[in-house]
Amino acid sequence: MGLLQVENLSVDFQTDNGIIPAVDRAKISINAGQVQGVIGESGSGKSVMALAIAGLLSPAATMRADLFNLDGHDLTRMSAGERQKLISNNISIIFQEPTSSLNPSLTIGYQLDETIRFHSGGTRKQRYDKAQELLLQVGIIDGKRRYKEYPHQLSGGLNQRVMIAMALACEPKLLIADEPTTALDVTVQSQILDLLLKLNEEHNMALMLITHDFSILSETTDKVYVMYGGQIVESGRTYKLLSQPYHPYTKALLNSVPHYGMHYRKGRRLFNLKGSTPSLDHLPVGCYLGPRCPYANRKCVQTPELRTLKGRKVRCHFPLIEDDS
Amino acid sequence: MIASILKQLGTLLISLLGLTVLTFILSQQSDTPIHPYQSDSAFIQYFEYIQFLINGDWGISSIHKRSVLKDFLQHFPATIELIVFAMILAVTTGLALGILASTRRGGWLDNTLMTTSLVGYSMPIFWWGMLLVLLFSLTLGWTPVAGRISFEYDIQPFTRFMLIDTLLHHNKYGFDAFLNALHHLILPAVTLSTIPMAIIARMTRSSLLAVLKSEYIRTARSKGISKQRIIWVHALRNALQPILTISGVQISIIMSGVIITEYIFAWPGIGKWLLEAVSRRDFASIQGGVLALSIIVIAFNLVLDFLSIYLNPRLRRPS
Amino acid sequence: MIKLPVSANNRAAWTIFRQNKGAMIGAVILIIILILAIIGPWISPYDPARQFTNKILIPPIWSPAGDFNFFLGTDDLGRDILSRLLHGARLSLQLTFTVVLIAALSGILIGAGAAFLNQTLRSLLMRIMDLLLSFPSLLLAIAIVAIIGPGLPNAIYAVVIVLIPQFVRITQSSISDELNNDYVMAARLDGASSLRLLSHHVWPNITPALTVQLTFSFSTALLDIAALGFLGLGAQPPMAEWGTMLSESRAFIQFAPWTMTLPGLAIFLTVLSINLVGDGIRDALDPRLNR
Repeated sequence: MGLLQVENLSVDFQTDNGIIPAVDRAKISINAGQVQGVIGESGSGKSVMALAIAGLLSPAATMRADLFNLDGHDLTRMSAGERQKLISNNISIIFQEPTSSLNPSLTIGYQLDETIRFHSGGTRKQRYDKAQELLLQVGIIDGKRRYKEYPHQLSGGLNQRVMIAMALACEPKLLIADEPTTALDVTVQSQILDLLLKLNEEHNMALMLITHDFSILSETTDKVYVMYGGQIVESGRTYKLLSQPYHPYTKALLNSVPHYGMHYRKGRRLFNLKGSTPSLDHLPVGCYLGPRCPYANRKCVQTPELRTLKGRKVRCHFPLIEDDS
Repeated sequence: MIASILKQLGTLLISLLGLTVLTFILSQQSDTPIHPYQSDSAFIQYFEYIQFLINGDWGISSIHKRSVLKDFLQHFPATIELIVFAMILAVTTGLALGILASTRRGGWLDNTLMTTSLVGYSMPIFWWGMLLVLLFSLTLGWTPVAGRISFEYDIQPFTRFMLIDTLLHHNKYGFDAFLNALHHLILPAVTLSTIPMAIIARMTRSSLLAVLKSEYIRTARSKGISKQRIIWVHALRNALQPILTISGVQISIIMSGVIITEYIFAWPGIGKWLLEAVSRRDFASIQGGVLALSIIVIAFNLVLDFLSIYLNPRLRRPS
Repeated sequence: MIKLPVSANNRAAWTIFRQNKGAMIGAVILIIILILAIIGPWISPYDPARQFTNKILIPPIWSPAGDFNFFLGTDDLGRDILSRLLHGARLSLQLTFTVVLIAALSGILIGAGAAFLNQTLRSLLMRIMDLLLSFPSLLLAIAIVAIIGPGLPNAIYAVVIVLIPQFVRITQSSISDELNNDYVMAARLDGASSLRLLSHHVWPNITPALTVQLTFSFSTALLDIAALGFLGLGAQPPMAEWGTMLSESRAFIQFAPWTMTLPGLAIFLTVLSINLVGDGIRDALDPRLNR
């Protein structure tokens, strides 16, 4: 059953140099308990999209959507207050920098307790027990000690666990994790990912993993969205998309990652795109990848629409279907 | 924690050393020595001087022929009353305006506030005080021109805090005397509080705006916490730390300002007393006044430092 | 961190500064005041000390009782206020410039010298500077004036001493901040001497902070000199110093408010324009602040 359906979600930022389209007509749908991935480089609009879905955009941003259904409610027909309430009851979000995402002047316990109080209430004792239970669930064993500590006394990994515990306290149906492991050590990264997947299974909590790293997505997600220049350029089932990318950008992303066991001959290089990610206030005409794309021709100055090909969605005039596989 | 306390104490010691050397030099300017020293060497005299200070002998004023410490303590309550009242005014209004402006960024209140606060901190306090007198006392006649209370009230100086003393005379004058004292206090306090208020409002606004952009505020918002609670519990606590840090500068501004304010309003406090001592070359009083006022500033800064350690967990409990 | 060449920085800073409305207004006012201060003695109608004994306390010309010979009126001794203000502008600005120049030079030298001191001596010096900084500036100035006696030269010395610590502090802390940067380490590995390091690598990067400090010191110096004059501890009557003029007007606030409002306005406008320019420079040189 569809938990979240968003169609034509656009986010614009009002700046001194005019309007910047950070997200352009994105279409997202997540079912209950599903694990999805969003991948893209920095500045591709993936984080802004996450913030838009979680209702956390800054006042400088304006957001539009033709459809925004969450758990059977139509959010486009609600007042801002009602929308915020529904979102915070159903969606939780964790960020890249766990330590700066927690208030430095308040203890872990206070912040956790506050979240529980806002969502389920209860007496002080009940809330304390609930907090300890949550800390245990996210793998913090010495919860009683940590409860009294401040974020700066905890490691990044522990703080991310606290963030997840706070997210769980809201009993969300969807957890958005915006680059949850980027700032952490490699060994801690896999622990956090495992924790997220475990919680996804135990609580039937849908998970939206936002990352720039394909290796994180390949084994964990059911479905992947690839973003470039604020647009979703390709989406589909993960294993199919990884084994045969249709969009040149997806292919470039995949090939830019060295694989374990990949055979490096002398003189062979990792595939990379020429040029750099376009800035959102200077997007090229037509296909945003056009100037960097090795397959581009004259037609690519026309804007490609997202179209469906073999159960996949691709925004490209020349999808790589007949090409190499 | 212990290390930072030791560092504080070290600073305090250096401060007191520097200060007493300065006031010792001041006391040496007097034609007749202000203390009966045994030694002829200035170096040993300094230690004798410290001895006298600790024993509460701060010298005898050359014009009033009274104990400097006693003179000081008599004038001090008037100054404290003015400073405390002005501080309360500056902090409450400054914080309130800063918070209001930051929550309505770019609105008319924000713009007006930013302009007036810029004007506020460029304002020479001596001119500002006279303008206020011209407008409110001389033109509109709303407030008295000078002094702490009208002549018709005969107030015994029990505590020398006029607001308290007038309340103690409640059975004689009712609340009239108290209100009269308050009436006298308002204009000097407004004069004194304007510049710190402008600075506090500006600081609060920019500090709060910076904090409101931070990631932990975004986290708090994602939890569905109300806007008021986010500002009062999550943001203000962090925004206040830089404001606390500049409060040391504020007390300096207020101490400088109070001297001028007392001069303008003929307020019988330390500032007026000190200026009189300077113009009549009464070095015993000058060194005593400078010493006492500086100790107050140092003590205030010390309290501030501990307060900011207390409020900032990163300093209180290093990881 | 990428360090832009200083010239490119300056050009960018000028662009930001020019877009700042307040700063540009401040700059225009300040330039007008500067011009008036320079040409003041030539355009002022009378000698500032000349007393027109039959023209006492004449209001400015916009008042019905005004006199066309005295554009801004006269004071209690019949002296022309416009002439006194113009001469006062030159006097006040000259004093301010001198004070700030001496304080800045000594402060920067002490601060840069502190960079060569060993740890203990440096932290002792900085503690002393912190102590002087935490002192109420006017109280310190009063204490100094009390030792060396009232009068203009002594007031100047007092304000210089009050201003020095700020320059020492900012120079020393910017230098030690810069010395911790990787680019300084790189230059050091290339064999640059300490002096060369300071003049070629550190100096260009601390000038923004010093420029901002310099601007704000102008307003502090102007205010403190005027305050001492007002309290009768600085310039003495009949000198046409703005603070002293204000002090003399105290007795006549009620009957001749212009004798008080005009000199005060002159001080206020000058300080305001300096602060506006200072704000603009700070925002332009460090766009991360206050934005």
